[in-house]
Amino acid sequence: MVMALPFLLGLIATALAMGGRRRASIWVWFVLALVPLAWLKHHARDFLGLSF
Amino acid sequence: MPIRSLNVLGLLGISGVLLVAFIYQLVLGELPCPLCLLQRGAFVALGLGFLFNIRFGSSPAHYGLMLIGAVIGAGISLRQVLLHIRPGDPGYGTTMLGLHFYSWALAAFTGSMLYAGLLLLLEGVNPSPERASKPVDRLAAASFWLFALLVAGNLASTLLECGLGPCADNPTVYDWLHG
Repeated sequence: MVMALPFLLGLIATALAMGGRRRASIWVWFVLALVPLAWLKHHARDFLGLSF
Repeated sequence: MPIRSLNVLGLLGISGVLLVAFIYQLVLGELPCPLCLLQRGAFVALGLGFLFNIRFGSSPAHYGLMLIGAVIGAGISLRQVLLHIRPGDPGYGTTMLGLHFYSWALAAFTGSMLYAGLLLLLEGVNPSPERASKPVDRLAAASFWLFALLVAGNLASTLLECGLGPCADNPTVYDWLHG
């Protein structure tokens, strides 16, 4: 389900943009970006050799 | 070429990437792994930046969203490249023109950053009155619908592949279709 979130949010942002709702679509974009960012943060330890 | 047309070209390019990935998935049965899905999601984030420029007029904020999406996508694809970089590692999935898809994704994200930089440069050199949003032409409208269709398709296929639980590391079947 988590992996489907970027596409669901992307669809919502696209629909909002096509409907002229600029601010709302940008807000949804930020929520969309959180999913891969959360993944990057989770894997940063072995990816970058850091510990946090 | 007007900046808006270059943004339409960018959105069509992103849609092309998502389309090729879909063709390999649906025709050749290459189901996307979790990292692959995250990269597709990053392409969606990147594509939205182009869409915002077309729909609402160019803005540094929209280019910022593009660049952030491209950096995130490049990070994820780089991760997948490094997972299979050892000599003798066959890599994950099939190749296209000799490169795995995560390698192509890394090239595409890097290229997108350069493209966004080029567009910003052109915006600065030739400030155009088209910054304000104006009615969307047919090609731009078609590019919106193509992008929306591909995003919706990815949503449906991800739900079919993973259901409501975690996605398999090496997916071979659509979980929801197999019960």
